[in-house]
Amino acid sequence: MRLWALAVSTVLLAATALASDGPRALAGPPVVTDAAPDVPMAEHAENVASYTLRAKLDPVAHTVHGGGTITWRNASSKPVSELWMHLYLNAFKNQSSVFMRAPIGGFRGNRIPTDWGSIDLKKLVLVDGEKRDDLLGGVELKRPGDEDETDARIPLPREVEPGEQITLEVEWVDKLPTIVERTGYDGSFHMVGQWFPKIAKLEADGTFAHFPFHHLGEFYSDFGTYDVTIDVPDGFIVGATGPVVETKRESGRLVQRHVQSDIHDFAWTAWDKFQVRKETILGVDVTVLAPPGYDDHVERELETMRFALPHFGARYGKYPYPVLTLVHPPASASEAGGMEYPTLITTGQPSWLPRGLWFVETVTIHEFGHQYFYGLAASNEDAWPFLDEGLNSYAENEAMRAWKGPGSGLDFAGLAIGDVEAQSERARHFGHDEKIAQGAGTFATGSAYGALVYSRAAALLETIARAYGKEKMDRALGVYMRKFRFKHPTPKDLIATIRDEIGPGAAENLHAGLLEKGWVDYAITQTSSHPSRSAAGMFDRDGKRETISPDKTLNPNRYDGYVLVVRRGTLRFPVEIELVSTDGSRSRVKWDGQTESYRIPYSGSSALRAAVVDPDERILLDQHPENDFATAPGHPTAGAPRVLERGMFWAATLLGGLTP
Amino acid sequence: MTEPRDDTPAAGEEAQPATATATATASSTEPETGAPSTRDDRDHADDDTLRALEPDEIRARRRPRAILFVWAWELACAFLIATPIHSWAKSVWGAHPDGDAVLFRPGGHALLSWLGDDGPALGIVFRTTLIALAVFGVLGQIITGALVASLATGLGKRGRPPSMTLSLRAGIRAFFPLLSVGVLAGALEGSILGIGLAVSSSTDHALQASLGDARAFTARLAVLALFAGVALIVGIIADLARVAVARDIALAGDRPAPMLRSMRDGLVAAASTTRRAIGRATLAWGWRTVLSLALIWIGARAGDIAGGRGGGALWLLFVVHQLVILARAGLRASWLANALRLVGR
Repeated sequence: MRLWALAVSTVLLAATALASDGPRALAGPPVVTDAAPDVPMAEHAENVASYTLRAKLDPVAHTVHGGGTITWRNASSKPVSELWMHLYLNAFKNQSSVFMRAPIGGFRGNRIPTDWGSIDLKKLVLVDGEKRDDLLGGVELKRPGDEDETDARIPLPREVEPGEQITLEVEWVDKLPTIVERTGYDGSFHMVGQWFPKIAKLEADGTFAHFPFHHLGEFYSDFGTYDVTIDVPDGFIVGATGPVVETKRESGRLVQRHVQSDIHDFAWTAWDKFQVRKETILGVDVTVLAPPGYDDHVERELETMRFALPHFGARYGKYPYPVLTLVHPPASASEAGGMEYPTLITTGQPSWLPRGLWFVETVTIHEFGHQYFYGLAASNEDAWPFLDEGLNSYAENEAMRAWKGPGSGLDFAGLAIGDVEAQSERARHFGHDEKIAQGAGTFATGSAYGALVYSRAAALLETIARAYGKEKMDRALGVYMRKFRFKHPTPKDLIATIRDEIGPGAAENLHAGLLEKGWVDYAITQTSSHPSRSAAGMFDRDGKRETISPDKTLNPNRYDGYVLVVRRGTLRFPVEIELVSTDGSRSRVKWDGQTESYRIPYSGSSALRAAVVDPDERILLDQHPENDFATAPGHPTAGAPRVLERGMFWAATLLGGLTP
Repeated sequence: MTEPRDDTPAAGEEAQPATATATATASSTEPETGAPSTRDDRDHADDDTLRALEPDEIRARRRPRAILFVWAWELACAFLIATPIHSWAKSVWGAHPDGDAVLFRPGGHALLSWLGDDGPALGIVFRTTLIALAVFGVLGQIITGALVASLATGLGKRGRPPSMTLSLRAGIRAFFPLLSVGVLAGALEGSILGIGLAVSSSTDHALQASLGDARAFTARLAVLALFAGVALIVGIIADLARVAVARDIALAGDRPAPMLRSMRDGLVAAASTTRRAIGRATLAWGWRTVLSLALIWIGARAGDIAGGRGGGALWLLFVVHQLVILARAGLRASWLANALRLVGR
């Protein structure tokens, strides 16, 4: 064995020598600095729609019997003569619902439930002082020619004046579906979202932002206080929005009351197999509910929150609620994972997923980020889904990179793939298809929705951050999130904030990227380098005519040349161009990117060998990174020796087999 | 770890009957037929006589040239297999002043852009590479046969290595029998793994309700590991059969037995060895496998550490990687030598 011992020793020694200067920079400890400390933010939301509800779960029939009161205030400037109420569980009632009949693929919610779901209103009474008006008979569940029952119109017996508050008494019965699109049951596991009759958001102009439950759509609601009492069989463990203020056990039932203000939705879960772990982080009581055997994932999710709570707090303002509940659904109910509700998020990922594949951390950070963009900003997700998902994907990318370094997507088996790099690659394929800024219901496919709303929006913001300065972007989004906390911002608010904080160029690129399918492709199209020559010909100098022949113009110690860079597309980012000389020296030239092309003259003591536009890979939206460089004619290219070497090693390894 | 001693049968075991009945003269294309090679032959063989080596003579370390030949073969094949992806990388990234170093930058921006390209190149390169791997994998049976021939036979009293030409000729003659044994064993291993996947999946589903999905998945892995273990044992037995087949063909010279008989004899020898010494075979194969996997890990880690560096670092990495390949070729030779000793004569 001496030969093999020698070989192995040599390999180990060489590996040790190589290890002494590894190229991958590891992320240092995250630095938490307040992005916009001078910008005040609202302490509380305006109470518009508040719900005092009770819910009783039958885990065998998978029903919820609900009831209670809704107080609603006309926060618009106009009288209102009707209400619009969302009954979203009816999306799973039959295949004629808007949700079920949407020909959408490539996104979540593609499974047809094996057990249908529904919400049936049993009582709807307007309490008007001593007067009680039964509104149930007048409820208009469907539109002519449309079987969808998720968006109900409720005529009122009289107009509600601006600023006036009304009270509704409601009772209903939910039949939960098998898990589909984030809600339903799987065995005794129940994820109860979109489960109560909910009044659509009233806009300032007196119109309701009402919409059916669309396949790709999410939510939009008024803020209020939710006081919800949940009644489940004893032995079940409940996780819900807001802190528990009262717990009772009576007649074999567990009754928990949760109260939370400044929120716009309420969700809960109940399962008799949950393992519970609690920890207080920055004053927030964090609870993780997970299936048995997920101890490592629970720890990873808590690690994530230990990072995310201070990180997001510094960037986007302090998390204002006293609790946060993380629900890790069982694998068979994975469709319930990856969703956000106020103070409650659902995570996911299979139990075997090792560290290095940061998907547990990514989904946890992403869903927590929604507490800001969906929860606190509360923009219209149906009309502008990117304002939540796109901004949140950017925040997820930023946070993961700050935490995990360049391998923030995965850092495994020698591969370090960034979260944002993966998003930008996905985004490039859909840049010409559709706009980012459009309603959730108008995307042609789920794939386009995902790639544009999540990935391209995030890549656009990251490109702006890299092109104009990350500190500026940190501050801009910090200002946006503080200024519009509880305010339901629109794309105009975002673009205006970017203009104010970063500048008009960034705002124009953001506008074009969001609303006009903006794209960009920088390319080096020509390079030239040759020995320097002075001008030949006849010159009149000092009263004499001098003729210089071409063979006497050569300057052997100087080289001239040029690089031609072009910018294709509609986005105009400033970039750098790196010029590489044959002596190995490198220099950089800045270009504002405003014109369609830029000719860079070259003059140096050695020939120009090559040029690269955007050498630091700042323009993640660049449609074709493979044309960002060129080697001057007549010069040898650097080639691809690393790929050949790695390819040979792995080919030989595969050829030899894993075993001897 | 101590090399198992297997030149003498264990108590209660009988030495296996010789399956080879020929010796050959290295300089002659016509082998002599006659008496089986025995310890007597070693004492009386002249320097040009090809003979079957005694078990205690069969050592990989005595065949460094054969191991170097295997390494050279793998290097050449690897170059050809890697050529499509190298050409693709060179055509796309070669003109970058840093060349393909950009593909190794942390974050993977250029790498993802390259692999995510909408063009047909990835599919073409992937398929071409797979085909090349398969072709060279099949042709590799000749090299395995030649290696076994080199390990199992020797010239003269000292058992000097036969010429590479002679070994290669034996490898070529052993090609179809070895390939057939390999296909049979592969089919059997595949079937076992397939059944294992089905059984483990059923186990997982059956246990989910009572144990939860995480623990049920652990049970699934355990069941699958059992089946994988059985498949590995089949692989070891197949290796025993392969060395028996290749050795017999090498010793038969230019008049090998018909293929089916060679295969049958090899399988019989493997079965007999399995009954007699499957524990020792598994142990011998096992530690070499662990070392082989460790070498692969070292090679991968070295590549990870080197990243996109070029120049001297890249050359150093190349040397490290080739030493890994060479060491693995040596381990393979060592295992085959051990298998030959176990199969006996």
